[in-house]
Amino acid sequence: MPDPILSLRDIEKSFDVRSGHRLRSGADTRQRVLKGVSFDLAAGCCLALVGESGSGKSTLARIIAGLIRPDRGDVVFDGHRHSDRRDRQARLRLHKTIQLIQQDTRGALDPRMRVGDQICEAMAIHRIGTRAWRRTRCAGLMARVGLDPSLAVRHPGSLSGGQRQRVLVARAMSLAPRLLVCDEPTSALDVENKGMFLDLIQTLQREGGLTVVLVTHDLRVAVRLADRIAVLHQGSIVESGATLPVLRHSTDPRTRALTAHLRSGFPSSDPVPASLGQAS
Amino acid sequence: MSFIVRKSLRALFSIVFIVTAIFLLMRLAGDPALAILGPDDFPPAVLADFRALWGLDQPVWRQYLDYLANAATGHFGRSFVDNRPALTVVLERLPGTLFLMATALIITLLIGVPAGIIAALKRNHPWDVAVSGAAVIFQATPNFVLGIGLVLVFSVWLRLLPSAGTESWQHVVLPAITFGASNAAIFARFVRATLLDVLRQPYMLAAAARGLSPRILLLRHALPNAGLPLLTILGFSLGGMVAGSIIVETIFAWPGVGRLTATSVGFRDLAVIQVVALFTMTAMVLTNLAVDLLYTVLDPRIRLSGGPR
Repeated sequence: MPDPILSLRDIEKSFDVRSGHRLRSGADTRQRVLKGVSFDLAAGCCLALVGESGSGKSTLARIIAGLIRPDRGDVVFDGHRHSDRRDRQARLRLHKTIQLIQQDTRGALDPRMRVGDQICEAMAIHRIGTRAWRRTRCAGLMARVGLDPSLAVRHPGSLSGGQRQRVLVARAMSLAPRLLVCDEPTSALDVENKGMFLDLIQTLQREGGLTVVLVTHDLRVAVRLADRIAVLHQGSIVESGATLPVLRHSTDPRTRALTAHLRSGFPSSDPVPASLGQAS
Repeated sequence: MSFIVRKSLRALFSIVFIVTAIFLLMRLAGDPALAILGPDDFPPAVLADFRALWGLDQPVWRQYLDYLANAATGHFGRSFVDNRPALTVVLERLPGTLFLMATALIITLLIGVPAGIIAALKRNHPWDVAVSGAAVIFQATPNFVLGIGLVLVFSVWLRLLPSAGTESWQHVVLPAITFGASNAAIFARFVRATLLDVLRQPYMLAAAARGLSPRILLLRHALPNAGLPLLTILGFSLGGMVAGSIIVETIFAWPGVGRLTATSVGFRDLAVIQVVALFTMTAMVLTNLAVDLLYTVLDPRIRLSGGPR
């Protein structure tokens, strides 16, 4: 593997089950969500984090995005440790280079702000360009993700789920990030919008050399986008590697159970089960 | 526009309904002649003359129609007690009550809102426990208990503040605190709950992921979204303040509409009570109308759906 742009080393995370706060003391209410997760990801690659609900995928995504701190271990992105980014400027650089796209397209947008303002806001915070330049770039970004720029004056509630998802992509891309963390980005979309979203991410990856971490429980999405896959089970990576070989030739019973379960949900005409081979 | 017309018509109907209800209730609650003159102090002929003088010997429906006809021309009757126009009597007292309510509202907002914000941002921290505990205590304490307690401590024991009157700014401190404390407690709890709800929204996480500082997150995303429900409770709190003014103004001998209401009910001063009711209802209805209109201005979701139903 070429030099990794993203490295995770022994990431551990626990939550207090009662309040959701990080546990500071006491063992009886502690739930370990991540148990020593480590992996490397090369620049321009797409890694799919798959696993059943509660396996720790979303927590891992937020740790990679620098939104929560691990109890142990560290994330190194582009040569900089997350734990070293203590001052405001360092945190700003982190949030400029890593962007997060969330699952809930309605909830991820402030209902009171026009979508154009939300796309421009991040650029303003990072002091990128003048106000007029940001407006122009906003229109350009909206066009690039397949949205009519005139929608910039609308509020999120008046857009469809697919349009809101595109706004999220445009907003994330406004900072020209090097790493995009997508947390279940297609789970709330219909088949048509899901296909358009995956095409869009592939195009951005191909044209901009974007590195992508994709959290999903949809194996078809993983097969379509990801070069590499890591299977999470109860907070640990039980298997990882190139996507299709892992899914086809896995010997780990937890991975096989996951792929068998996902295969069973595919229609007979779906090309993904064929690419995976038959479950045994 | 139809939204404003619809709301205004509903407001007008509410005012007419309440004024009618109070008109009927006050006449069914007892004979004003007996309440004012006393059954044992005057012979029946004097009582009959009193009723004839004020039109109380007419059927209630006739009195009601006369009242409506006069009200339409701006005449709301005369006070039984001092024979002056009821409107003049109430208008004389209105500035005192408005000043007291405005001071109490400032106290409510200056204490309640920041306390709620601190409690939400420091959730499960001793600050949160202190604010939430104090809010429960002040919300549960009746106005008259707090008022008497404040008089006892600050006027009787410490001799720092006057307990009655309106001569200086110091006279407004205790009644305004008595007025504002429970409202501030309600606001603190409400702000805490709504802010916590907003802080959990995915768009807050998304904003943090874009690098917004905690201060900008709070000012630009959290407070505007948490502030909208606050408008509703602001409208409701006006009703509580009107009711509370009767008690607070009586305790502190504050010459306002609340104290006037208490004495007017005791004397069955019908014209004054009706003017007070009309003013109160109009104020509450206009406040709720203003809140509804502000919602449509501040919340695009309501504007898009054609206004709240």
